[in-house]
Amino acid sequence: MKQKPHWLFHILCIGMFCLLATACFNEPTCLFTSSNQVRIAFRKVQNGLTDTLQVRGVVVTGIDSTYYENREVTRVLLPLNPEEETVLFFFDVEGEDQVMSMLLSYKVITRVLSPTCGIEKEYLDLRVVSTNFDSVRVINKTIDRNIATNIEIFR
Amino acid sequence: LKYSASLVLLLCLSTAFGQKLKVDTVQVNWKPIGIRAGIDLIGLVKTQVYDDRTDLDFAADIALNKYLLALEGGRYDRLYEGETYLYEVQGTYFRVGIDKNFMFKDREGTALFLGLRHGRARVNHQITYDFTDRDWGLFEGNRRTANGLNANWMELVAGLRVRIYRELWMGYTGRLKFGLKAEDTGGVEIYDVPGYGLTSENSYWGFNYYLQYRIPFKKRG
Repeated sequence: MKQKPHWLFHILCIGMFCLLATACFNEPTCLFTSSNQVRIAFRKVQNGLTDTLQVRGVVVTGIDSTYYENREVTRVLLPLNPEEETVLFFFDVEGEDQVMSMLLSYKVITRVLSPTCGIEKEYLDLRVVSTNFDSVRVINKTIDRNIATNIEIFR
Repeated sequence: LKYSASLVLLLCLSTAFGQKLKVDTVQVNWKPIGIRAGIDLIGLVKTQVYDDRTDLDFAADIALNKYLLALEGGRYDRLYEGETYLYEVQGTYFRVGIDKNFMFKDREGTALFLGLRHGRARVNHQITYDFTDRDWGLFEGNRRTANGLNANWMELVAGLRVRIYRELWMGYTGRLKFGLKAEDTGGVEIYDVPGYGLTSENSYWGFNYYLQYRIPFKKRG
């Protein structure tokens, strides 16, 4: 006499069917939130209000071009080096006796977003290593498109 | 009357106590009847079908009355290739845990279980990439490597094991993986943890379909 299959065997088969039916992958959305642009705001040391600078130029060591040439600025966006963990900025500002400088350090994390989206870099743990500005304050240590200010410079 | 009431109360208490004693002395059989061990067929098929991965997962369990002691482990290597990068992950992992078998009275030893696992992986990974930045230009052939990283997570599992022929068993385990803690050093974040899956997911579903063989500790009667 032919034996009927155990009812659990049917559950086993249903499990296999569910697996095949649900064997799909979520299509990832390519959401790049990180940025390498450090946001620097200028403030007056007396009252903390926005300071306006007449800049002859800002130089980022390793990049040939000069940023903000002959511009009046209250804030600047400058690029961190994606393959190094330090960067040096030189600010040629009218009214200053010397060229101002600021050496920053940070950590770079490389991550795969998804096979189709590719990679992105995240910049964390931003610090001011040295500067000849009167006073500086790191507001946000992470570089992100949604963050308004990373560093405040008081003059 | 007072004496009679006390006597009845004493009788009731002694009866109840006697019953409790009787319950307490019921023998629970903790003797294991065998060890069941096998391989995940899904991983095996993926390893054969796809050139970019090795996905071998093994599972073993020992039934102790209504509980199953589970030990699982495996090897996972995978290569992700994009237009501008190659990401390689290699690693081994193991999971230990305990399941409650809701069919422990079944003479065959069938298991319909719910349980918990702790997973741990050892990860080596490497990324080679080209990166273009608007200000800095093109960085070609960059490489970041990190070896011997640890990752830990937890799993809620549910599954079934059915004897299909003699000592041959089949069954599946569904997993809800959560609480991943992965070490990140060397400037590159782990993308895919062996045994867990993508690190971008806070919780992750997993499914294994095992073919197992049970080595009995005593011959069937």
